Amino acid sequence: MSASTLAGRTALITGGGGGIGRGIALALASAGANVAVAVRRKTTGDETAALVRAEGGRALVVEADVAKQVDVQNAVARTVAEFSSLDIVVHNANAGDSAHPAALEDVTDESWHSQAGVTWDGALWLAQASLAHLKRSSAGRFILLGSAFGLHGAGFNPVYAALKGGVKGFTKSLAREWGPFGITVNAIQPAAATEPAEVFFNQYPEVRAAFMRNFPLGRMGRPREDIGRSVVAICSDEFGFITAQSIQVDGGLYTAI
Amino acid sequence: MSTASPGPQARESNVAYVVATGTDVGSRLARGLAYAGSRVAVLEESPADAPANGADAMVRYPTSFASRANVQRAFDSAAGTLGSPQLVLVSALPASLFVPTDSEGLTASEWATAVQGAAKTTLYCLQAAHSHMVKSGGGTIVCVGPSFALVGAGRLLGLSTVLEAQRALVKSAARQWGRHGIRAHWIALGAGANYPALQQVPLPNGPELGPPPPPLGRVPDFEHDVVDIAQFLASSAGRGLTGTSLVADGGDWMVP
Repeated sequence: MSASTLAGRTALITGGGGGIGRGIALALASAGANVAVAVRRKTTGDETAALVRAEGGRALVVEADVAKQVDVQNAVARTVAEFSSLDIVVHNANAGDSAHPAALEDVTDESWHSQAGVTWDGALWLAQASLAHLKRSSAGRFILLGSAFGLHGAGFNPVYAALKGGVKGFTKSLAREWGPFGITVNAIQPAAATEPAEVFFNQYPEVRAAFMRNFPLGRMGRPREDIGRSVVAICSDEFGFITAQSIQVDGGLYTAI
Repeated sequence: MSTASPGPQARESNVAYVVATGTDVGSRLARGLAYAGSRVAVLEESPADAPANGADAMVRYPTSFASRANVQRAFDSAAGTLGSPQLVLVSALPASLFVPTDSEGLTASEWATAVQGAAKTTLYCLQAAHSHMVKSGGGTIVCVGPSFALVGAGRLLGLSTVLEAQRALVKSAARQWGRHGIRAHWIALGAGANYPALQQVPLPNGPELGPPPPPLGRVPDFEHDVVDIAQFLASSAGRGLTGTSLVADGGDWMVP
C-alpha cells in the first residue's frame, strides 16, 4: 500500500475520535483518502483531524450521534459537500458501555438500546444515507466493525456479543443486496489495544496475561498499523473481489472457523 | 483441574415450553413435541384453534412479547400448571421480517419493531427461561431460525441480522449459565416448504452447482426431525453439549 492507493477517494468513519476509529482514519488518510470522522464529541474528532492534517491529509469533522438517523444523514451530506464524493464508509462507532460486564439475566431494555442504537441503528442509517453515493463510486466499500464475540458469544457482555453477531448477518445480507451495484460489504473483527481494552485489563489484571497467551503473534493489534492498514487493504482495488466476509484482524486470536 | 458433575440437568421432567410467535414454526414444533409425549406449554400471541392431535398434551398461553414482564408472567403461569421446563424452544421471528424489502426501504419504525423487537423477545425468553431453570437445577434452551441466516440473503437484512444476533445471544447464555446446569443451542432449519413466506424469495442455492435436493434428499421436517434433535439436546444424552449451532437443513450448507 502506498500514499496513492486510495488517492481521490473519500472515506467516512464513525467513531473516529479515538482508538480503532482514529487508527483507521489515519491509515486511510496515509493511503491518500480524504477522511471525514463522525464523532459524538467534536473535540475528539478535532484531535484526529489535526493528526491527519499534520501528515498532509484532508479531514472533516462532523458531530453526530449515529443512533440518530438525521445525524447520520447530515454526516453523509456534509462529507459529500466537502469532498464531492463518498467511496468508503466505515461503521466503527461503539457504545461506551460495551466494555462493561453484564449478567444476561440482568440486561435491561435501556442497556440493550444504548448499545443497539449505535451498533445496529447506526449501521442501517449509514447504509441508507450512503447507498446513492457508493453507487456512483467505482470502488464503493462499506465496512462494519464486528467482533469475534459475535462468533463465539461472550460470558462478559452478552449484549455486545449479540449485536456483533447481528453485524455479521447484516454484512452478509447487505453484501448480497449491494453486490449488483459493485459495492463490497465486509466486516472486520479486530483485537486491538485500545483505551477501553486497557481500562478492562486494569480492572482485571489477572486476565491480561492469560489473554495475551492466546495470540499466536503474541500481542494485540495496533489501531493504525494493524487494524487501519487492514481496512486500507479492503478498500484497495486488490481486494475488490472480496465481499460478504467477516474477516478476523486479530493476530490469530480466533481460529475456530 | 477438577470437573463438575453434569449437574441436576439429568432430571428429565418432559415438560417443554414453546415460544411460538410470528410464523407457524413454533406451533408445529409444539405439536411434534406433544406427539412425542412431552407436556407442552405454547406461548403465543394469538392462540390458534387447538389441533386435533396432541392437543390434550398442550396448554396454550396468550402472551404479549412486548415486555420482559409480560413474558415472565407467561412463563410463571406455565410453571404454575406444568412445572418448570426441561426444554424451552424459542421461535420468535415476526412475519414482517420475512417480507423482502430493500435496505433503503426499511423505515425506522419497521426496524425498531421487527428487528429490535425480535431480538428483545429472544432476550426476554432467555431471561424467563433462566429464572425457572436456575431454581429447578437446569434445563435446555433451543432457539430456531431459518438456515439462510448462515449465508445471508439480499432484501432480508433485518431477518439475517436478528438471526445471527440470536445465535450469539444463545452462545453467551451457554457461557454464563452453564454452571447452573442450563444449556443453550441454536438450530438452523432448512427453508424449503417449511417457510412458505420464503418460497418467493431468491435465497441463495446451496453451494453445489445446480439446484439439487439436499444430500439427505429432503429438508428435515419440524414435527419429527427437528423435534427429535431438540429432545436429544434436552435429554441427559445431550449433557455434553452447549452453545452449539446445529444445521438441520438436510446437508445443504455444511458450515465450517
